[in-house]
Amino acid sequence: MTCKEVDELLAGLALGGASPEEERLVQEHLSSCHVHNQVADYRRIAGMLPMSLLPRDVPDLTKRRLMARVYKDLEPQLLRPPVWRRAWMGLAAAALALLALGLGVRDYLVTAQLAAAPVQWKLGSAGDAATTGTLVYLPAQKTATLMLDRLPTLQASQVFEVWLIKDSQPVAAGVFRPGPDGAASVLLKGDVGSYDVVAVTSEPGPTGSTTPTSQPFVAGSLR
Amino acid sequence: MMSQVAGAEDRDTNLVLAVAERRDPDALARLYDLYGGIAYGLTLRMIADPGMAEEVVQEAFFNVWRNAASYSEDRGSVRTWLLSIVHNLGIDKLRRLKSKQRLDSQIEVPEDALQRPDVWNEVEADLERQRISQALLALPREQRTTIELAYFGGYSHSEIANLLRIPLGTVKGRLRLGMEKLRNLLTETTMELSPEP
Ligand SMILES: [Zn+2]
Repeated sequence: MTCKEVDELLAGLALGGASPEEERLVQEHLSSCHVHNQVADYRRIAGMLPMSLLPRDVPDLTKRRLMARVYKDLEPQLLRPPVWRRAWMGLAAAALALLALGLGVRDYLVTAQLAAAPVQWKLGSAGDAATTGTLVYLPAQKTATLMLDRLPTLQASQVFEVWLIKDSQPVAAGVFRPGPDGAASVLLKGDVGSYDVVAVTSEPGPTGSTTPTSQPFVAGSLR
Repeated sequence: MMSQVAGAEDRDTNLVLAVAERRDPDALARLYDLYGGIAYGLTLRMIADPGMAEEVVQEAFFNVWRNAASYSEDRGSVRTWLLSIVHNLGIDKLRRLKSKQRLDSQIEVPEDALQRPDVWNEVEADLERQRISQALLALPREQRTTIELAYFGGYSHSEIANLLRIPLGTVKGRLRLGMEKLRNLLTETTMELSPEP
């Protein structure tokens, strides 16, 4: 391709209108010829064009779907084997991963224990659900409140069940049903802070199970 | 050149770093809150179908989540980088969608999409939008239409030639003249806006 042919294509290339073949030929030319200094300007101008448009309100669902994918991506161990043992080990691994995120949980925990102030952890979606939540623990009272949003729909015969996990062993911590807005707030009694992970599954109602029978859809590290 | 206020650019860079280095989902959510609306405005302009336009937005931000480490400041502002991801995915989608319906929906260039000066509450962004819209509107109509078909419509040069029944060389010529003029206009505007000595 000659310099003249390249010049003819640069504007179109920046705008996305060149064919892949043209793009390849131009890139090849540009890698050895440096007289075409308008390339960067054209790209810059093309990059401004979206700013000529009015922003539009994106439906809430788009963000929920996006964040569900993000959390899923963040905790891939949670998704795979339908074998419980491995799933719980995955949760423990995710707990460590969350710790590595630099959320400052440990610092917070230390400070909180000194002052016996409430400790707070975040829960993220562990499957297709978009559920998020927060667990607030009061060390002095040994009680915790688990608050969840965007719970998945539940069959009439089912309940949600909270699990506290230590050394990969789930302990049943209570059952609940979501409110009409898909949110719920659950009171947990005991030394919640001594567990590694909190997770929630769907289980047969009304009393739930003694060991989990389904994959958790939301989970969080307590470390 | 016009740009966002420096504080906003620093904020955005820190958010991208938080995504790249700490895998912080909240930082991604924040970027989405900041630029999801512009991204959606762009994809709606490119793809008339709201469902598909949303898909592209979601895909683009997931791309940002996965590839935040590929951002570097010499690729321009975070916003420009992010919108170029949106644009590229929008083009891919359009190319897969080559249909009669798309030709019909895109050939009309809705000028009012460029102009209405309300809604946007950030004055800074509003001014910027007006400057770029005005630069576009200052182009001869045939140049503007050709640029919009290429950028927002995702049409190749030869498709534009067919669509407008003009020779391929004319398409390339209009794109080049239009981009040159935009380059002058947008650079000039910035100089006028520089503080008085
Ligand atoms: Zn050359």
